[in-house]
Amino acid sequence: MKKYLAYIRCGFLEGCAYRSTFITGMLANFIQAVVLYYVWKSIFTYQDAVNGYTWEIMKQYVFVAFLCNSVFSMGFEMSIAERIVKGDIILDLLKPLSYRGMLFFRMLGTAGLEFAATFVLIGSVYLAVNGLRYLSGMRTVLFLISLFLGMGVKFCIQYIFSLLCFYTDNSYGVTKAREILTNFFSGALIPLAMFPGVLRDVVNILPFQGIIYTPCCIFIGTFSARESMISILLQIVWIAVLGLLGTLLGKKAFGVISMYGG
Amino acid sequence: MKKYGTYIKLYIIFQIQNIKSLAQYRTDFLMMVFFTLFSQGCNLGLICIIYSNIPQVGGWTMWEIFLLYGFLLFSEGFINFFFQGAWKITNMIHMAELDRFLVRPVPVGLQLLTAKIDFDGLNKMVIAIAVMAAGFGQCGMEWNVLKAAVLCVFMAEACVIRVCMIWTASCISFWMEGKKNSLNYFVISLGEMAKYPMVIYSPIFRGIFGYLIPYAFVSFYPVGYLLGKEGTRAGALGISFFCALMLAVSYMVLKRGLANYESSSY
Repeated sequence: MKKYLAYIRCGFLEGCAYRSTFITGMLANFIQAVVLYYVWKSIFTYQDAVNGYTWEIMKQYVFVAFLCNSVFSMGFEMSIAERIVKGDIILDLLKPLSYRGMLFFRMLGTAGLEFAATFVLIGSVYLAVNGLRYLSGMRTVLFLISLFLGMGVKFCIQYIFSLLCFYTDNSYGVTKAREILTNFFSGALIPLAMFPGVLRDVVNILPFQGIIYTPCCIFIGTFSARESMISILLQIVWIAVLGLLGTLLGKKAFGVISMYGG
Repeated sequence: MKKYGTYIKLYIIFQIQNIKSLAQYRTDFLMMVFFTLFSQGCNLGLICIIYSNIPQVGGWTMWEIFLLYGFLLFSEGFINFFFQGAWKITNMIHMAELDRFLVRPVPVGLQLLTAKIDFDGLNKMVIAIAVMAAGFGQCGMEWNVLKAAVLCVFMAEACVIRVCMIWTASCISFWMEGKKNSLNYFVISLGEMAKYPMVIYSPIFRGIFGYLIPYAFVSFYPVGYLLGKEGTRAGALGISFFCALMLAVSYMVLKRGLANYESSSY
């Protein structure tokens, strides 16, 4: 465990060192949140409710979704691809600890920093817009659990995508594709309840909703207590499934690399 | 005048050299075609989903929003393909690669603009044109020669304004020693705002991101004018003015920046 703690520290320091990358990423997301805020605002001046969502709920959703999206925003596909090209990856694989565990704890360190920074920013914006009236202690606790599990789901997905980098040099494309997939299907941009017919069913069977939509709905209270529990359980199931998939793919992918020197 | 002719010729020569590098990245190019189609499809899908629940945003229908999107995407592709070098300035200053350009008997600005090419820009431009064709088709516009000419001028001006934005943001690096400049990235992300009509934003936001950083003139005013939206006539006249202003600013920034430049190598 001590070994992994060192990696948490490592990730934290890494986050500090690359803060400009993180801040610009966060600002870009924030602009998107602000734009969506105004889009919804103008929509709700014409009608009271869209698909069961009122302006009151939407005002919260936009900002909570932004918080969920900003935590753990840095993808590690690019850096892995770079290490594969340079051959440094072998040093990671030779270490006497699990490769995935190392990545996870490193991410956790960075995510801690990101969470703190985003929380301060978005917390104040949220309070300025919505005030205290919607907050509930029980839901907040469940939200934090669900947010953490959502990070787990996101990590598993990223890990699987990063394994693709063993097969292709185009890490930029891989990262981009993963980012768009998660943004689109996780509810980062609009609540998944608004998706029309078939697409809604597709979204339901995909793991992406666990990343943002589930924690958000728990926080703003569109999920009942029972629904919240079921969704949290679903997140855990997805982590197990994707984790297993990652292990299997990992075994294959690590066999592919061949490099000179070392 | 002859001087400028030479510059254009040089620009073409430089770009042809860049295009030759496509051969090296052939599979990469094909993959990017796929990824770009996919990501733009998702972006458009998002707009479709929003509109599947509601009739309009700020008085604009879905196809009209697609036109805004098309303008934005086209200018982005235009930068990527023709002037991607504008992105590279930051890195060049940081790594002192600029020194190499300074000793050549060709204007630094020209060399910087052609420092890089991104073939993804082609995909974006093609998608943008398709989206706009569909948009104009659905909006039931009546075309005449004058309108077509205005459209071309507006698109060209939108591209120039956008290049100048990135250019200016990148050139700020001249004054930021030893730091990474991500202003250009920030400026491009702001394009998100221009995907929707400016009228929906609060006045402060509109002031800063529509006029101070003149995104309103990249998509909102040109499209609004072509569609005959209320209150866009005056703005449409301002496009040329802002275009010229941005060019002047870019020129000044480069000139001042170069005067201020201290190489970090030796």
